[in-house]
Amino acid sequence: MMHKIAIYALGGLAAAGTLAMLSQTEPLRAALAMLAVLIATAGIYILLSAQLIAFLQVIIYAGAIMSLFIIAINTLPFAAGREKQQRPTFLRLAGLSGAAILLAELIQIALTFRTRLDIAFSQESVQRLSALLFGPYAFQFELLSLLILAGIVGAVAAAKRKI
Amino acid sequence: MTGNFYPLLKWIILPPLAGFVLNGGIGKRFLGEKGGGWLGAAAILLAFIFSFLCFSDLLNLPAGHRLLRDTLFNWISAGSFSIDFALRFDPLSAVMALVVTGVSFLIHVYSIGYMRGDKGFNRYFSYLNLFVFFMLILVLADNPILMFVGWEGVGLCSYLLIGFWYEDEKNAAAGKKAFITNRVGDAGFLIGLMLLSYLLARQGVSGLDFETLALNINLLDGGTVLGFGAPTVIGLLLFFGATGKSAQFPLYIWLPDAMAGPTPVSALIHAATMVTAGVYMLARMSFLYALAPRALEVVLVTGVFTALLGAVIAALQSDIKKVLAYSTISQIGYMFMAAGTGAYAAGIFHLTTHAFFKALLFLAAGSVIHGMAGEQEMFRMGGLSKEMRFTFALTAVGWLAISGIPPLAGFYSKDLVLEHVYAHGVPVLWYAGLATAGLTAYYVTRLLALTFLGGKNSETHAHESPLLMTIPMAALAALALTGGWLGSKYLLAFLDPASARAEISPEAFRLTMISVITALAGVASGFFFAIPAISDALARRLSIAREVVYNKFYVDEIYAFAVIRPLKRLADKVCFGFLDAGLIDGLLVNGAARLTYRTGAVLRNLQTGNAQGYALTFTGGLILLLYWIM
Amino acid sequence: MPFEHLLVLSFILFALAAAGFLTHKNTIVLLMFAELMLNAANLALAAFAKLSGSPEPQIFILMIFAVAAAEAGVGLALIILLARNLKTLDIDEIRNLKG
Repeated sequence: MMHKIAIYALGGLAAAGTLAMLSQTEPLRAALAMLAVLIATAGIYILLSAQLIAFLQVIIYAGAIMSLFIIAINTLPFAAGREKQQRPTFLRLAGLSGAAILLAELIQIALTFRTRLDIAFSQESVQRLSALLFGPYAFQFELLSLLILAGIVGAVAAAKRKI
Repeated sequence: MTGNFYPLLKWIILPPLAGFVLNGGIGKRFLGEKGGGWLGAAAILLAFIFSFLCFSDLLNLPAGHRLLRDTLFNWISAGSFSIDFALRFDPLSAVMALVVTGVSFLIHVYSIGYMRGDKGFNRYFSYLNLFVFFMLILVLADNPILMFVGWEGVGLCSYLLIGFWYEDEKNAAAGKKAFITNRVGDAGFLIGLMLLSYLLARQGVSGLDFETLALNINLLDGGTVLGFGAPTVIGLLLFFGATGKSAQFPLYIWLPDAMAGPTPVSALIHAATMVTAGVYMLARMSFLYALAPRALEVVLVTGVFTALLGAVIAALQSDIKKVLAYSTISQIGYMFMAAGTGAYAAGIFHLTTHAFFKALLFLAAGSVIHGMAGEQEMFRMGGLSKEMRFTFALTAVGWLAISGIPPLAGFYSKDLVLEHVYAHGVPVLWYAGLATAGLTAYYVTRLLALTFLGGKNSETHAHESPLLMTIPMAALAALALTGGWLGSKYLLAFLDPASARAEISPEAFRLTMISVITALAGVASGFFFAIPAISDALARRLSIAREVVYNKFYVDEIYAFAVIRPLKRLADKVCFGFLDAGLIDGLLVNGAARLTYRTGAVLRNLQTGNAQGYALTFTGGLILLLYWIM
Repeated sequence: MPFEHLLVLSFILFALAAAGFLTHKNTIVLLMFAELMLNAANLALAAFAKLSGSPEPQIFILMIFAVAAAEAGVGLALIILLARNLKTLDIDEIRNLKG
């Protein structure tokens, strides 16, 4: 019971945060709203017994990625401007209506998944996950580090001042 | 089929083909004049020998079953329609093959002397050999499609040889005229062939060799095309092609112009062989014309009309070759006359004798031209009987032959034709034929008198031609002397065993007398009017008529105005201007390019470079995709 | 609880993030919205993980984390380059790929 309410509450918080981001003009405030969304999502993960994912979400997303964004916003000269953040009305309308139609369609798809979900807390999910991670999916796990290495090299090479 | 694998037949056509390839390919560099000329002549001699061997084999077969065939390979095979490259040797082909190869050989030898020193010597002999090759295919073909291959081939060689000295534009124009006029006739011929094969195929007959055609032609009897009887329509269409090839009205206009080619070419192609192809075709397709008496009437009337027209125009020409050209047109009219009455054997008989004496006359004219260093106007000749004795004697033989004086060749064959025309029952046609005979005698006598008799009109000292030229002429003269008598005894029976003539009826004897008297009258008036004073007086009296006749009744000019000019305008404005430049070029080709460019210009506007615009498009696409999935 | 509610939640988040992506001008903000879309997908995956009881969708989420992180890093590097060269971060001004 509490579970259900918590999920709904955190879900509502995430949606509200995204809405807040939509209407923000300043990028810094948008970043803070995003932070709220990410942490709310982490909360939902815990309630869905995906504990490892929740913690990783906080560390990677809310921690590393958001820090990157905030650093970028604060250091780039043109990023923090206060001028109008949003595009001409017609295009805004087009974008919003597109998103609305998309939502309608997606909801219709979602309605085909009518089942009951048992949200009882599961204690062994982390063990099971790590058994898979160090078992059949170990290779893919190691590949992830390669991926991140590539990202680092790319980012550093792209942003250097002098080759 | 009787004798379906007689292998000697293909050896008749192979030597001329080899001669063409050798002379054309390596002649100029390796063979030179002597080698090339004798190679060409030897090739034809080989063809003649093989023809003779086949002929003797044919004689060993009983009359009525005389047929030798050979199928070389399957040429066209499309569903049930199948055409073989097959050769056929029956009495008709035998006569044609022997005449073609024999006369060709003599003319080849003559040409070695005539064309000496010409810088296109080897090219000449290769073309001549190619011509004989195609002509042999024409006469030996076993189905009308293969015959048409030969038909077209000789037209091509005629074009090549008429315009042989192509540097002079007049010669090239004459060649073009010949080819195009032939083409017009060939269009009719092709349509006739297509109708024939289509109508027969509709009845279930798919083979097109002459045997099958003759057997099944009755299936067409009673069928109609556009309201007219099918055999009549096909017969008329094929005959239209024959008028083009054999220079009859209305497609005879190319033959006088064709005299621009070397004289041996005129002798071979435009007297003895190619122009007779139409008569051969009629004889071959006699089974078709037996069902189409109306078509035969047209053939008969055309033959008579052309004969008379040719003779009238020839009577006033001043160029020696042009006289002979119109004479050829006239004599071929006689052959068509015979065919038009159903007497195909008589027509072929006249074809044979005509080949002899006309080739002789042409070669003699060539000898005169050679001796007079290129002069062709008769009014500038005269008195050559003393300087060119041998040529004079031989020309005299030809003169007697063509005038129809017995016992030379022309008398027998022309008389036979006139007999058949008389027996056909329409008197005016016979009168016209008789008048033509008289005119023939007249103009040939005139030619002889102006060229050889009387006083000299020019300063050139004419020299007699070398042996290489005179010996072939002598051979032809011998044939002109004996051919008629021999032919009437053996040829007719050989060609058509059914038409054996037993006795000469008194009716026939009377007709013969009339024609001989007409011929003698023609000769006499020829001598009479050759006296300059008399001819000048007559010319002054009938000057307008003379003008019209001398200008060939202005037929060329009428054609140019009524046919050629509108066609040229049609080709220029409609076909070129509208269709080619406008439609195909402008609309389809350039239009396609313009369309692509414009489309690109429009589509380019999609690439705004705006990332969010792209994202919007993504979203739209995603929406549609999901909608479709749902 | 009804399973489809979780899916609907993730879809709502996705649609809102897409709307934001289509309406804002600042490039960095655009990148943030892109990350939010990825996050919404992660949420859907986690719901399926709970539904099926198998931890494999969670592994999928892990992969997406790594990819998102790398993408954010490289993306921001590119944005730095853009700002340096074109002197603007307004997406409407960056039209060098036009035509």
